[in-house]
Amino acid sequence: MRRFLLTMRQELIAIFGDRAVVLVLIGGSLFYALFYPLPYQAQVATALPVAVVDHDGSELSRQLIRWIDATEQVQVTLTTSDILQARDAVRRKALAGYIEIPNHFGRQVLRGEPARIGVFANGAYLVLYSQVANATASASLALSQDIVERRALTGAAHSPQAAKALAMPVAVDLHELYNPDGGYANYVVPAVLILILQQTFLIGICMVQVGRRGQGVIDRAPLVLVARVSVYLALQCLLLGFYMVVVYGLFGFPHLGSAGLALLAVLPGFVAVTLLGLLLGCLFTSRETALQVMMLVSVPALFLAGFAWPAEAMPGWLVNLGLLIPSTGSIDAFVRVYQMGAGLEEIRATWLGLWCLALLYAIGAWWVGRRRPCRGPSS
Amino acid sequence: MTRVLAREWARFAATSRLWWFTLLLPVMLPGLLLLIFVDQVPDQLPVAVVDQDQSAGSRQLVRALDSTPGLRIAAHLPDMNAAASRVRQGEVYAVIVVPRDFAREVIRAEQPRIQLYYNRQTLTAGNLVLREVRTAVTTTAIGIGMAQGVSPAVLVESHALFNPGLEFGRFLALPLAVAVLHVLMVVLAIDVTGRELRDGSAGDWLDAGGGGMVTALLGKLLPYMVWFFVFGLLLLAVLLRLLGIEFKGSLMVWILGWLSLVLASFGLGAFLLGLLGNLRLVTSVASVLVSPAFAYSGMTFPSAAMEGFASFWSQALPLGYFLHLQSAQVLMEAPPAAALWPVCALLLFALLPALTLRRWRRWFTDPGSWGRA
Repeated sequence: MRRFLLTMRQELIAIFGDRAVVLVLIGGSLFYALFYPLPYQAQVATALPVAVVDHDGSELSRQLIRWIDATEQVQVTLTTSDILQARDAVRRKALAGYIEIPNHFGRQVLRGEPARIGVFANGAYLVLYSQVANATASASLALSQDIVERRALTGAAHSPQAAKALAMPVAVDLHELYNPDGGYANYVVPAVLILILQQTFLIGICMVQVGRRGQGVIDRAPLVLVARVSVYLALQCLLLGFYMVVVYGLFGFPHLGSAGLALLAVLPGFVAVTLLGLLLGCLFTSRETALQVMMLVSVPALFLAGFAWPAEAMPGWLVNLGLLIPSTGSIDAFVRVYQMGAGLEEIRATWLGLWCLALLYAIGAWWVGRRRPCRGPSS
Repeated sequence: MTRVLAREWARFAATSRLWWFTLLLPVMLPGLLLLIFVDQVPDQLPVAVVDQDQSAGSRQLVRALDSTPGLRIAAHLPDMNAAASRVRQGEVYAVIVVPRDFAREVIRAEQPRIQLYYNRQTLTAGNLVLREVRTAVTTTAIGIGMAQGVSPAVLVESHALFNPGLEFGRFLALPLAVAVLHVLMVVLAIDVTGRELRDGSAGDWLDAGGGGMVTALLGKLLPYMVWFFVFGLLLLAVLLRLLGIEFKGSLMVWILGWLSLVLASFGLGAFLLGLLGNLRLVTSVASVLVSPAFAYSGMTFPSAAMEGFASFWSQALPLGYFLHLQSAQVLMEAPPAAALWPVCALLLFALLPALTLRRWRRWFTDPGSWGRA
């Protein structure tokens, strides 16, 4: 027990006695957590500029333009009859898209024939496309129902409710779960926070390991391994606590789960990250290499987590390969517990998977140390 | 110049790390991104159905939902509690509840209401599900209305300009591959220059350049710049082919833009090293600048919607200029004039090292400044 505590103390000295390590481990974890949410702080893109190419110019087409303009997502900045002008402005990104109202639109509606309008949104950018398409769809659907309802009310002796049902025989009520405003930051940041913690700890642990190899002190007794893991585990828990309290509070991110349960959910992930760091620390020859490599793998790691891009749209073998990165499971566990309020039994498979991963890296870290006493740094 | 080049080749050949940074990682990392996004499987996103009606009418609606290309009914569940748990288990992205008396209300024209609970925590997937369910239900509703002799007044046809198949994944692979190469180039520029200072060989390096700082710097970085420029052209050709994207705009403008990004990336690296002179510190600073560059580039969340500091910062980094130029040329067939400002901005980054020439003189000539850890 004394040896255990002594190793822990030595590890803490190795960390906090090294300015570069403190800068990455503590400084990096705090800085990136406050820096990454900033671009998404607005949460939703509103009042995107669109044009209406109005070939009709009737009272009804003007009403449609007003209703589209009234949506939160878009703002009609240009009304023209020149389709080339609108198309060119979209190419130059001056507009997010345009809506084309055909000739005789008003007359067709009055005759009771379905009139078609076209929305052309910039499909090179997902957010622009979906905001413009959704705004136009809801405005014209509302107008369409309004027209049919009025028709039914004036035409035959329909009750208001029956008129409504005629206009839209089946309605859909939307209930948004977990991220009520569809905010971009709410969606990206929780996952990114877990990734940040993984990357900074992998770098920091590797730096300590490479430095230790430089001094020729490598002790890989299981007790020492456990003591070291405990130190990094405690630090990661403290930092995640900071994220959940301060970062969430500062940016006002919503969450349903409790902080304690969330910590428990990602605990095996933290253990796996630490052991992976101790393992990788034997592979790098200089302290900078860890930083350089982690900068490069963070983007693929985020997308392999199956969060920013649905795992259903990825090849299956790649999804399984991604499970070897601790952040894949940790992000899944953290988001479902802290954001969505899942219980431990609902993340069981992920949680056990993370423990398996931790075990795998524990064997790896122990084996590498036994087989090939790490060479000292070359430079 | 020849002596610097020969010296750099000898250093390169003897350092396995540099082989990784110039040959292996530039192939492996974009290759990995390509594999993530190349699969053209239409996103069959799993959803759950709670059918409280169990009538022929409700089953017809459920069939219509299941046959929607983007959706897959993964579970039929008896009640909302079971369904909510499936969402928390991460098995389904949404729950569709068909109310009791659905079919009867349709016949009586009482406008039954379907409840859609969708997971917006996973925003991309949630929004896709929302769009598919709304389309399927509206189509069904229009069908019912038509049967009753009522047609809708206004119909909307949505077109995704430049991306008719709505394949956003394919269009993410290209900018992400470039983002990774950008990080690689900045890291490499710092590595090859910074190690000369740390290993105390900067004097030797300057001698090889015949005492000229610009010759020494250019001679060291030029081979890497040429290599990454050529590699980028190859990578674009391969990615476009494998992703099945047709190049729409001006290839010359894209090439000019890529050349500018290569110069800007190496320029940024040489500038930072000139400013601070310490390999480890500069790598950390570069990490702060280039790691979040994709998030700030406006390729996912539009830069126009960013607020305050973020909207400034999105303009202060080189990566975004090239990524937007690339989308404009590859996909949007934008006029070449639209590339003028981005190219100018990138060339400004390329010229940054000129500001640090005086400090570079110190790093080259003052042995006391070398080897500072």
